[in-house]
Amino acid sequence: MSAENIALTEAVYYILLSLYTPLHGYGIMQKAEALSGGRVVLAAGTLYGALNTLLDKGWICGTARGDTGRKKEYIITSAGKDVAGRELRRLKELVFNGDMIIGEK
Amino acid sequence: MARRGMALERVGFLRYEFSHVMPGEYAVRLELLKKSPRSSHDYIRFVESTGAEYIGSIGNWVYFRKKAEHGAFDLHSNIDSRIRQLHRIMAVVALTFCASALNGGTIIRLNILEPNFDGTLLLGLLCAGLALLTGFGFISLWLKARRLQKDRVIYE
Repeated sequence: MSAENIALTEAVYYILLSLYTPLHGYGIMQKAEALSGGRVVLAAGTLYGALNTLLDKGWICGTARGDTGRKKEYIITSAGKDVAGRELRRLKELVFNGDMIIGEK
Repeated sequence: MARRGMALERVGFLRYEFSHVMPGEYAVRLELLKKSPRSSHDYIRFVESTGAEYIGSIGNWVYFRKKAEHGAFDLHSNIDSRIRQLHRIMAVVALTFCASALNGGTIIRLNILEPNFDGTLLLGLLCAGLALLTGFGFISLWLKARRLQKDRVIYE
């Protein structure tokens, strides 16, 4: 299975969305919670692990401003934006097929 | 303890210090780190940056607390990280079980088989008791991890 066909977890998707503007860890937690209407709550330990994985994959990077300050900030990279864009297309396909079959439109 | 109004303030070897607070004022969380707290400085600072306070550590066990007014406090929110944490704890419990069972079994066996053995049967029984406790603990953790792994097929 190619990487293009693997679904992102909801947590990772919201982390990527949150980082279209630079944010530190707590900011990411708050933004993900706000975007999802309180449904997606990222715990600190889970978020730390996810951020390190996303950094290793090159989907996010640390910002220059975050390097010197107390709270490290992150921002999505162009590779991360490609991944987020692919995920959005996948989700739209899911919704389209669901609407067609379940017929809730 | 925190729910009853006793907030953990400091931890040390065989020592826990509490202070009186309003019941439920703090939520306290415990985590077993993969590396020592000294090597996990980055992680501890990260958790602190989310509004939690680092209380202290005993070995690789670290204690955090957060005021309830700042919102819910969990360290692991998805199934994968919960399973990883459980596996880490299971490894420690398994090691304790093996050491206790081996010591307890050996001392009890020697007390029975060797009349001249000078070992204390009580110590053997204590080790066997600890082995029993950790054995039950391991099984309980294993069942919890298995439930989560089954859920993982369906949920995140």
